[in-house]
Amino acid sequence: MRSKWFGVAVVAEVREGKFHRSTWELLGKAYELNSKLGECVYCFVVGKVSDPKEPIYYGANKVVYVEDPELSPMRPREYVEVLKELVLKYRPSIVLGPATLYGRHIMPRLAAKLRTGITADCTDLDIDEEGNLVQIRPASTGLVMAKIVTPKHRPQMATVRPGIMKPLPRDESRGGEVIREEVKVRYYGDVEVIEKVRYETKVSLAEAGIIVSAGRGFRKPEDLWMAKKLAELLGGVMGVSRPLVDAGWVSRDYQVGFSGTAVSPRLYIAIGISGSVQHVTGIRGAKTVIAVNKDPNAPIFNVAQYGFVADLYDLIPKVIDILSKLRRTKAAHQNP
Amino acid sequence: MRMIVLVKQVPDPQHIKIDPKTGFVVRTGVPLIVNPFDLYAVELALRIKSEYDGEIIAVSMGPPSAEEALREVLAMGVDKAILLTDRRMAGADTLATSYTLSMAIKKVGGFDLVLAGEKTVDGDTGHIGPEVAEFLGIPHVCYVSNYEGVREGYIYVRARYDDYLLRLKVKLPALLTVTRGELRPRIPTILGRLRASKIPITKWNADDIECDISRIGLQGSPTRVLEVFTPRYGRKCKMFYGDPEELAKKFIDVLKELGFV
Repeated sequence: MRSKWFGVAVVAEVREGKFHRSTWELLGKAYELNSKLGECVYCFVVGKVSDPKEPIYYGANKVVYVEDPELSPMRPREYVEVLKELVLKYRPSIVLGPATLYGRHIMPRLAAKLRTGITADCTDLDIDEEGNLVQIRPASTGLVMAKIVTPKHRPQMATVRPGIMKPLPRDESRGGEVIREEVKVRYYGDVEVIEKVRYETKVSLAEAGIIVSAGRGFRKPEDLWMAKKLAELLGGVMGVSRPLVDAGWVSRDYQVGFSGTAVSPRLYIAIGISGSVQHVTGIRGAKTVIAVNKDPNAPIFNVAQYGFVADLYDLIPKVIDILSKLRRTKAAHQNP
Repeated sequence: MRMIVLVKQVPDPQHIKIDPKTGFVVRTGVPLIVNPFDLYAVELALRIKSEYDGEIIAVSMGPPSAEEALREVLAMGVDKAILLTDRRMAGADTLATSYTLSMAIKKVGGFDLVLAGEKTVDGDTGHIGPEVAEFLGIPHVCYVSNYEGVREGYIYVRARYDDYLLRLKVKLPALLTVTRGELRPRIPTILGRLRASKIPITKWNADDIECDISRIGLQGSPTRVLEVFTPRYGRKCKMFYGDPEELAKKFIDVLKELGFV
């Protein structure tokens, strides 16, 4: 049965007529996987987009497009039935989807419909000698990584969080075709969005250039002022590790790491963060990492380029002090 | 309203550690708790029941020790509890787990609503809810933070998707996965615990729920874990030790060198 399945398909995420960046990231990975398989990169687009050719510029060979503005992941039964038809028609051996909130809403349901396996939140994907998809993801609350395969079932399904994979550069000279598919949809109409209200997000970690993050080394919520102040002085934003969110100190918007936001700043300063796999996986995109920790053996030092072994309560106030003075001098020079 | 809440017993993530010598996860002595997200699902069910009456049945799949987790939600106010426990169910991935749970839910039958936590803190997939909904052939909504009412066969809920708060209308029967944000799970009272201690917990094995044995446990799981490892990172770290005063200066020097000051 395995031999009848060919190629790598990416399930595109469409939001208000536009592709979400996770689609380009997944296509980048699909392109790389397919270079080992030599088959085909599909992009399954369900919904309505302004330019269905766009995925070709990011590495898709074939865009399979079901144009239907009525279809959205918030109508999971209909959406998954359409995707199932596409999977059964094109028979890709691998189906990748975004681990965005919308992606998590539909991808597992699709896996159940196809009665196949699905691995959530992969941090890396590869092809083994037998052509199987090797899926890497954190396990045991993110302390270790697991290597997972789906040996006998097809398609092999996996999701990836945004910010983990790198997209190919957009290139309009890439060739490919757009295939329009008509799928008969049964509209159950059992889920209806009555209202969609945008609420203010206080932080945007995903796009931040400089992040100063606080971890369990902080003893109480009030002490977070140190991380906030340092971030402010450097023109960045504050993040935190998962235990502080679990303890209810700050909202999940601030959580850096695999189960929070995967980040890719120019500078990441980790203060009092031990560096669990789940945290460091989320900061792999950071260009420079500076870590401050009392424990010289803290795993965070394995991912940092600069490590300061110190009690944050001794070090950070002094750093803030010097930086504040520097800023004041600079300001005095600029506005005499 | 007849509601089924899915509950899982998990190791307390605060207490899981890696043995620095072997690199293996240390599980012995780690306290077991109710998956924290499931408490929000239980809380939502209790609130719906207080407004519309009905019955709440907790269903859990796990080893015999999972009885403690069920006892905990009974103490919160859940009416009945069913433990799916059978060695043949062990080693299940999300597909096999969801199939097993869906067979148990079908056996309970006559439900209006199935509730589950957004995810478990150990598996961390968030996949069980949508997969169970598919096996039951009912609609689902994830990340529900609260409900607004039940009218004419529909439940009105609020859900959080990224920067948006969605208000949705969902036809019953349906499955909802519940997230933090608006609800505060109640703490069991002494009276609640006393009441819970008198409720018998029903135990079902694979035969009781009439499931296809080839679709449960390890044999029913399409995915296989090949190995578990601690990743190594290639970065070389320049380490600084010493007096905090000196270190603070060095810290500034590094920031200057990198061009951030």
